Amino acid sequence: MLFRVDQASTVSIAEQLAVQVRAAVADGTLAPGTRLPPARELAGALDINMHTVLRAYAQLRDDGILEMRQGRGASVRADAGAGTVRLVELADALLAEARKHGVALPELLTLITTRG
Amino acid sequence: MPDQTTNDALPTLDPRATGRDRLAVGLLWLPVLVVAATALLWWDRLPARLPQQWDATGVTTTAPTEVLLAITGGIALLGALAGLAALARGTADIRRTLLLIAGCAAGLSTGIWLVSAGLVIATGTPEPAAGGWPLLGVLLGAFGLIPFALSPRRPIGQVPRSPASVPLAESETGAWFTTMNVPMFLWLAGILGVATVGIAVLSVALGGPGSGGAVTVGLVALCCLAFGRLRVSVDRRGLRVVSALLGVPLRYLRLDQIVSARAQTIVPMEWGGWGYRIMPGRSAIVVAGGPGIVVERTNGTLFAVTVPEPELPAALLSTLAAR
Repeated sequence: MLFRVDQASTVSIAEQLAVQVRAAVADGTLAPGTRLPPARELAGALDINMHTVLRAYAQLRDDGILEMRQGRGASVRADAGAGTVRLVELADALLAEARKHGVALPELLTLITTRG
Repeated sequence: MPDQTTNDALPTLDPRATGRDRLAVGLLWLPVLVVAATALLWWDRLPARLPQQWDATGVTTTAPTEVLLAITGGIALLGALAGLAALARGTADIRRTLLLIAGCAAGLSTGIWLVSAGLVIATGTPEPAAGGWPLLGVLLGAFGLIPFALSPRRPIGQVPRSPASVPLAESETGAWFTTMNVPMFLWLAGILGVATVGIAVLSVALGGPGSGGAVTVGLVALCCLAFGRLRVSVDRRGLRVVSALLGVPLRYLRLDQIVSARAQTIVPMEWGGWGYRIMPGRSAIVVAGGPGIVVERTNGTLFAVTVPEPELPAALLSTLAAR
């Protein structure tokens, strides 16, 4: 897949990478099981810090899109797909909305768990 | 993902054989005719064995007449058949090279036959002194230059003026990665690996012979393994093909060595076969027939690597090279 990074953008570089991986998983460019390039290689290719790439990968792992294994690098989770990506987007939107209305995270969690 | 490339039409060269190509291919039948005619003419007068090698003192080795005729005539025939294959459209870009190799092989084998049988007929002895005649036989190998010269030269580097590009902002960089699994090479590596162990065990059991064979087969297995999983990347540094299993770079073209790149269907025949191919004016890493990236280099040669969906990386490479 194609990774592109805009140094002039207001969006952080790690976020730019994460958005592109999410989009690629959602539209099937990155099929489940596909391995992502090692962080060191991707960082070298884009002339960015390796820790920035690792931060993006860690974020995607927390979102349930990637899995990271020792010695095997990062790969797309077998159960990741458009649905996973959509859930992450909705969660982001919910968080943003809650912040806007001054609702703290514990309250938001309570709101969700009482419904579950 | 949406299409991120902009494209222009590709001009193509007519791959059909010209009249001069046909003449060159027809000429390749000359060695076959010469060997066949002389064999028919001389057959009754030829001894059972013909001289094969000479040194200063005389004939050192001989070969059965039938075997020598079959080998030299067979090679001449193969050359003529290779010439016919070279008329196909798919081989247009390597037609001249094919004709050269076929002509040289056919000429050389005809020369060997003529010198060996001709000397016996001319002198009337089964083991004649050679003098400088074997040199003439070798010189007949230059016959290949005739069809080579007859077949018209085709320009290499038929890359369009404005290849597809990926629009990148001034502050933007792009990098593209793919990993390809090649089951064919993995299977080959596995089979050859087992064979290596088998030969090695046998070699130890027999106390020595065959150890060289084990090493050779082992090395071939390792080469197959190197092509079992390939990682191809395009970024600000250039085009890179790395063996993902061994971590060994197989090919690295820096951006300043690249004029442009395009997506093209790779027919293995046109690039000399499968695996890592090197031919005059072009080289390639071919692991599958089908789509691939063809790169025109600043030194005028071409490099190709097969990848699924090559449009985006080819366009990115062109964009980065043009910066």
